[in-house]
Amino acid sequence: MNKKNCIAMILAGGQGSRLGVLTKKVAKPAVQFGGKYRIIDFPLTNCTQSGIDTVGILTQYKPLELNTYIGNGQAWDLDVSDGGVFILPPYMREKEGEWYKGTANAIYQNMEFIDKFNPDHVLILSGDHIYKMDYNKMLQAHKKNNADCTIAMIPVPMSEASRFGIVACDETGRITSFEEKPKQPKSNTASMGIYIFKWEALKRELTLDEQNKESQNDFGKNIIPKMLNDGQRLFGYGFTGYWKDVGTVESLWQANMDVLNGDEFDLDDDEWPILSKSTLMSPHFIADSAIVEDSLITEGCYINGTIKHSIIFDGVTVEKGAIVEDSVLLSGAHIHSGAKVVKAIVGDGAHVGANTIVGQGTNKDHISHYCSGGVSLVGPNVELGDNLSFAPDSMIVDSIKGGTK
Amino acid sequence: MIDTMGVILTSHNDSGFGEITRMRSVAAIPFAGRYRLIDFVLSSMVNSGIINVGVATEYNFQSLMDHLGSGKPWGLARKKYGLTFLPPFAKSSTNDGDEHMKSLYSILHYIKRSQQKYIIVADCNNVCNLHFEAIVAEHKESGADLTVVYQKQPVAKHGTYIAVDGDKVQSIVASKDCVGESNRLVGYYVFTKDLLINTLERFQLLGKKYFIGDLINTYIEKHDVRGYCFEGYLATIEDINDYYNVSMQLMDSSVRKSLFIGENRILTKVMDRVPTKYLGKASVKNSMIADGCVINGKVENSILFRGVVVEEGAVIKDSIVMQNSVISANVRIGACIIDKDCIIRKDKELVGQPNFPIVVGKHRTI
Repeated sequence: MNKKNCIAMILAGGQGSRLGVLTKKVAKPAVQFGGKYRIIDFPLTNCTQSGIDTVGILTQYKPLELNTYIGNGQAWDLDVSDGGVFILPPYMREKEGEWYKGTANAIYQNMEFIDKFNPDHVLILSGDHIYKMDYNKMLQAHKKNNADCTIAMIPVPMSEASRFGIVACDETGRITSFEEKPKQPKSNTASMGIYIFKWEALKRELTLDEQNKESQNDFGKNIIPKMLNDGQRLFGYGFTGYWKDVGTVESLWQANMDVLNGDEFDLDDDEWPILSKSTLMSPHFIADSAIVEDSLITEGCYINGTIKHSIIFDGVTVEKGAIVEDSVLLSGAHIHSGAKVVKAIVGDGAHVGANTIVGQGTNKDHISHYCSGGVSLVGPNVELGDNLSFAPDSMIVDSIKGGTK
Repeated sequence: MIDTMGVILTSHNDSGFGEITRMRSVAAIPFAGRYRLIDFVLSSMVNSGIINVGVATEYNFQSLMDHLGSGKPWGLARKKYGLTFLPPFAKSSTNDGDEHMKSLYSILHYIKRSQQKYIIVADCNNVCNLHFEAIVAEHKESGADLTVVYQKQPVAKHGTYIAVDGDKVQSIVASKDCVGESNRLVGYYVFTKDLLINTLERFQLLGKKYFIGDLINTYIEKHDVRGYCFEGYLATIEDINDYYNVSMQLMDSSVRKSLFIGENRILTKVMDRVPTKYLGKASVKNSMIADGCVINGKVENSILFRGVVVEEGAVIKDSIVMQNSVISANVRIGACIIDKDCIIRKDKELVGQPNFPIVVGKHRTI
């Protein structure tokens, strides 16, 4: 095998538990986004566009859907003979095996894999962010600085800064302090959880970290602070542009709405097309009674109702007289006649029965702490009967039989 | 269907298509918003489990080659077999026969080299999603030397018809001798391969020229030829009017259902276009819309291919607009076929008739 300059490792093991019923059966990176994509498409597209042709995807939580989606990587041009995309679940060793304990441990358990490619540098990515980024530019900066580790940074709203690793750099870009999730953040310059390490440095640190029984085996909490303490060369790489962690139902909905508004985050970019696995359906069909405005619609849909300011995934049916506003309908969702869906995410394969109201109704039994900002969520494959009514902030997890009018 | 190979003959007479085949062969004509005509037969073969498909070409095949590539979208980028692109032999003289016979003679070496026992020889100009498995199974069971697929259709001038007795094919019947409905050959033939090779080798020496007149006729006279009546949706596109009319049939939900709904998808080259964006002034009714369009005008009874832009105030009715064309503000279009990469500038009006659609060729600006 040829020696690689840089390979990427995507941490895709997170459960994404704050997405409620959306991640009940799938890992967060497999969650759908933007009309025809899944979250994992964004880092994978970035890799391909940045000239990285070897990618390991570390999974451990509900990996089946993600695995079948990735397949042989063809959709991202990663079905190459000398590299490609590899799904890396935890596995048994001679004496024992264990789950990935933390982000650093996940990479530690796959050191042999990385060594097979003998790369100079390793790019560590997280599988749950929406953004377009040229990693090659970051790699060039990393090399120019002769850095042991380069951390991508972005300004975040001060109010949210305590959720992130907060970075401070000197005038040369060298990192002077790094605090993981500080209670009192000193600035709003946050780590994006994107790191490029010299492989020999990372390998050494991972081995040492594994021997430290106190360590939580986490990049932000352990590896980075220790390297900084040791006086190693850590540099910041400033990124500007759209970057969103879609960790909650509301932020996922908001990020979808950002796509609709276009100026915030433009998917229709000839230079940087987002690659995804096609569902291979026919073009969508807009029937006689349909009204469609300010929306995104993709292949395989049949639309005969009213759709305003919404994102419609593949294979969705919206019957005559149904109204969908400010919503996201995931693959194969079916909105029956006269139903109304407002400010909601409707899971894949879910049915909203005739004249049922989601997101603007009266029944408050399903209001959930997973939902906020008035955004409702109907779980995947949930079947809602006719004439039901759900208040904003509802999360509907199980099928419900129809009511009476 | 490891024992069956497929050959698609793309050397189809394009004289009836005018402008839309100026830059491409009939097989590569864009259809239904995101496909090319060849996708239907190719996908039908692949979905039937065929892993060895040869595509025989005659001329103008650049666009087709670009579309098919290595055969990856159809799962035919394989080590053994897969998709074989068969360009014509330069040495074949024009007197060798009709398009089909010329192609068969020139790909004989490929047919002989393949190990499959059966071969499907197929035309490229049908819009249909069918299972060859059932047809090949009947062919095997009957022990026939050739099974032809036919459909009961109203008689049309282009068609070739057959007389059948049960499943036995008795003779070819000229369209002028048919009235009302008759059994039209749809251009799918299942041969037992060894006999086909022998026959073609002999015919080449004898200088036989015609696919129907010589080959099929000889088979009917000398061998066991059966008919398979296909009852699903199938539309044959012989000229630009067929193209327009069959495209408009896509507005019928039963037609869309038989072509696109179900387990067997029509496969095509994937372009990673974004979902189509509907803006505030969009008004779309009864139309088929592919991905990557930006729509801010009125679209009715029409088909928009990938990446079409419809600006504010533009009105498109009963039309087909192909990939990446731009319909500017306040343009009115009726019964038009606008080929790829066209720009119709502001305020223009182009109105054809359904039986005489206006065709705007590729890369034109109006």
